[in-house]
Amino acid sequence: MQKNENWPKPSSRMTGLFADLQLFPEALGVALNKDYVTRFDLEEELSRRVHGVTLVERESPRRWSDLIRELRYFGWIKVIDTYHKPTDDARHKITEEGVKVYSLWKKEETEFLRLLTIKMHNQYVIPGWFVQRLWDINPERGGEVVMPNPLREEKFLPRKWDEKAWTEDLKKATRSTYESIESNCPGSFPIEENIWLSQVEDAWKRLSNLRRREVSRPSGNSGKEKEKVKTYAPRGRLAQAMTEASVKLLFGTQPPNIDRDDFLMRKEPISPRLYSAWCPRLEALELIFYTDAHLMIPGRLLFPTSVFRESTPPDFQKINLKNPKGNTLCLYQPTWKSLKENFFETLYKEHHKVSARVGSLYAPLLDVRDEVCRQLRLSANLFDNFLLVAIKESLMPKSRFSISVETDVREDQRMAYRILRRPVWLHGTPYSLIAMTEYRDK
Amino acid sequence: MTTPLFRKPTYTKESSDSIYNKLGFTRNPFPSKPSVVIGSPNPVENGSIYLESLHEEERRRFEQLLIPNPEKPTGRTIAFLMDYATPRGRGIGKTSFLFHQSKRIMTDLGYELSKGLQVIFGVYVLPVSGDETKFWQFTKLLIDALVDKSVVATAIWRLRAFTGAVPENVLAEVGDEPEKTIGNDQWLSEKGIDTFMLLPHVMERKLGELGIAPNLVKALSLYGGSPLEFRKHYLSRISNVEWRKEGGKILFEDLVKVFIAAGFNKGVFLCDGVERIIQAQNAKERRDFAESVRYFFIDGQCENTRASFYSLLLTLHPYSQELLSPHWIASGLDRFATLSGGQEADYTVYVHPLTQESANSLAIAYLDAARIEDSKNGIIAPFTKRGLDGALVAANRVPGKFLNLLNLAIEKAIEMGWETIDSDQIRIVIEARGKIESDKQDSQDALPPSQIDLRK
Repeated sequence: MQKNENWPKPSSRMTGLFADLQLFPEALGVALNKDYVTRFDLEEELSRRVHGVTLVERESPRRWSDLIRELRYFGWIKVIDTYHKPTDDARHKITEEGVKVYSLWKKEETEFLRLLTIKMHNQYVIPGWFVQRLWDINPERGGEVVMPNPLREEKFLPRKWDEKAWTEDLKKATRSTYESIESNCPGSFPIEENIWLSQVEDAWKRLSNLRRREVSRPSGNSGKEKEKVKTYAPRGRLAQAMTEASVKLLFGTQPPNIDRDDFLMRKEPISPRLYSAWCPRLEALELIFYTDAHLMIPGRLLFPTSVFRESTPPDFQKINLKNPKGNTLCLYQPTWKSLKENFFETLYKEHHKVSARVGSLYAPLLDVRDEVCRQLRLSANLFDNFLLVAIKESLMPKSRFSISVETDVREDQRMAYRILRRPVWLHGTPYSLIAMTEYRDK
Repeated sequence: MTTPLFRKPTYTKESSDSIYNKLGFTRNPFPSKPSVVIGSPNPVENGSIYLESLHEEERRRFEQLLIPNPEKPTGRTIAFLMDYATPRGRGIGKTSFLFHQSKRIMTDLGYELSKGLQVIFGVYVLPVSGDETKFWQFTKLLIDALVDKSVVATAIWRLRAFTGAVPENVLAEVGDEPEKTIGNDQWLSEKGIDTFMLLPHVMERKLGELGIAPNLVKALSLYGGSPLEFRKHYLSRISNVEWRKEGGKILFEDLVKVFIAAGFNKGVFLCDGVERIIQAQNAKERRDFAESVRYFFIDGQCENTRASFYSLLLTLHPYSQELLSPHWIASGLDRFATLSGGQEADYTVYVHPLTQESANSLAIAYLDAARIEDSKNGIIAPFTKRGLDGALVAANRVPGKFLNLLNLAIEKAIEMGWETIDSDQIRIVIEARGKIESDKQDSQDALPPSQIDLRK
């Protein structure tokens, strides 16, 4: 094993758990106009945020200390009272670098994101490492990786809290997820079935023996005391167990089936909690794309939209960030001109497939987006940009296609975690339906 | 006439020089909508072109379950009509089947069906989606159907005859259109019957003996003979509050007494689209619904249960079956009509998809109804056998879709000048209809690899 095959040890693992990267520049904006900021100022000014298609009135307090800490790590703010050890509660002041970064964001948002990528990588090492790991897991299919979840059609009945046994039907559900991934997206979960089953079982048992949550009584309602949770949904717990197991199996110190330590340390590079925070962050940085809603995949489908290469070919953007082999990270950023034909074709084909499934011309745009992005290895951001151009071009007199988009919030976007699914933003409006037809020659 | 204000349409649907003459038809023989619209003036769409033999098995089953006959004097109180094959349920012919059965019963009041044993009425009921989530609304729907389909009026006409208020020689002149004779006060007056005083008086005394609500007695004796009048003077004046309180009594107590007095001994509600009720209900309403069905149809304290008068045929979609089942069981209805658990077959009329032969005869029935020359009846031209078979498979053996596809084929034939429609032509029609439907059958293979390889 050669020394230069290792990633550097991260200088910190205290990653913020929020996904909304716009908070960084916005917080700098707040700091710019004040002598100093505290996390309470940020909470005051930035609290109302849009998550997916829902508005969150008040973020958790944890977010603001995370934000302060990360800005300090990046050197964009610093503590005023230097005689104290820096804490997240302290008063902070924007640095010169922070001012520069803020004006960069104002001028060129993508450039800011690239800078943030480097900052984050230098601090946590996860961004570059994660991309490399995806490529290590499934080089055959361009880094496509599936983080399993129970099949959508699987039915579970609620269970009493005390029924925590690892039963045959749970095992069967775990196995059928595995089989479905094997047949639909081969190679994206290269773990032996037995290992998979036993890891999920372990995770299940750990989760089942956690202390029972208490439901606090509703505020302003004089009534019962705190109540203990009496039942639980096995699907949720099994899904959590699967995520825990797969983070451990796929994103451990060694890539699956490769005898090589990525870091010179024993500790797992990311925990399941950090994994779920990093996915949306890396997606926003345009390093990867992921979706939880791909109909053929039980679970989360991830793939990189960037790659480590020796040189930067056209259609790629170089990020000043190297892997242990000395290759540079390149973001796939094709120009509209080079992609146009392919984009229209793929969009038309996928729209057609999805609309055949739902049976109406207006098809769920997000499903179309996910598959187009997978086919063309586009980031969600690029897709939004290209779709906007495509719609404009479709209005031209000689256009082959006619495209129309609608904003109705679909029923499936209103449920559970799906409200957090990234919408397609065009001119600041989230769209959810697309119709596309081809003009036929007479 | 110069102003367009008073212009009248000169277009008639079956003008003699229609484009369909080329193929020997007066119009497109097939329906453009793949569903039946009851009461539509267009014979192609209103379900009146009906092929008896198509649903022979279902008909037998229907009679066996619901119609009392010499071998089995009591029918089931509740039965179901379901699609035999779930994924192709739509347009399989449930509506036209139900409508036709109600028509069959009403032509001779069940004489033929019960082998002369019984006097029966059958009413086709179609709920409006979301409007009838409560049982009292369902009750109102049933009463509306009884009035609109002239069942109440028929009972009154029969009573007029039985009370002796109308003399025998007048009764002999009633004929095939009772609503214009015994149901029409003017006609009766012409025949010398006092419709102002005597007839209502006799009726009122007769109905009064039954022990039913006085205002209903009055309304029936004065206006019962005419559905429109009865609606105007009685039904439309009942408020929703009264419906909720009294609806059950009117339908299951008072009207049952009236019907029995009028010599009926069975009433069948043929209820289409029950899923529209079930799916709009919340859990509590579903439970209430099932409980009320049990009370009013099976073993509650009302005239209907004592006389086992009404029967209910519910058309269910498989999904509603799943929704309703727990409440059905909880209210104990599964002992009387099992909805789930494998024994539902005993209570269910299954509607089967088309076979090759029945499809041909169905097509012929429609073609014949539109032919210019009767001599050509009974053949499938301009279609070929292969053409029809192709269309049948493409339509998943569902009659509604099948007929709709044939409609498109005829249109295309006119447009393209085809003289025969073979499987090739059918294929062109299907393709022209858009690839959407044919693609649906695609099997799920593995996810295709991405088009772009970032390493190249």
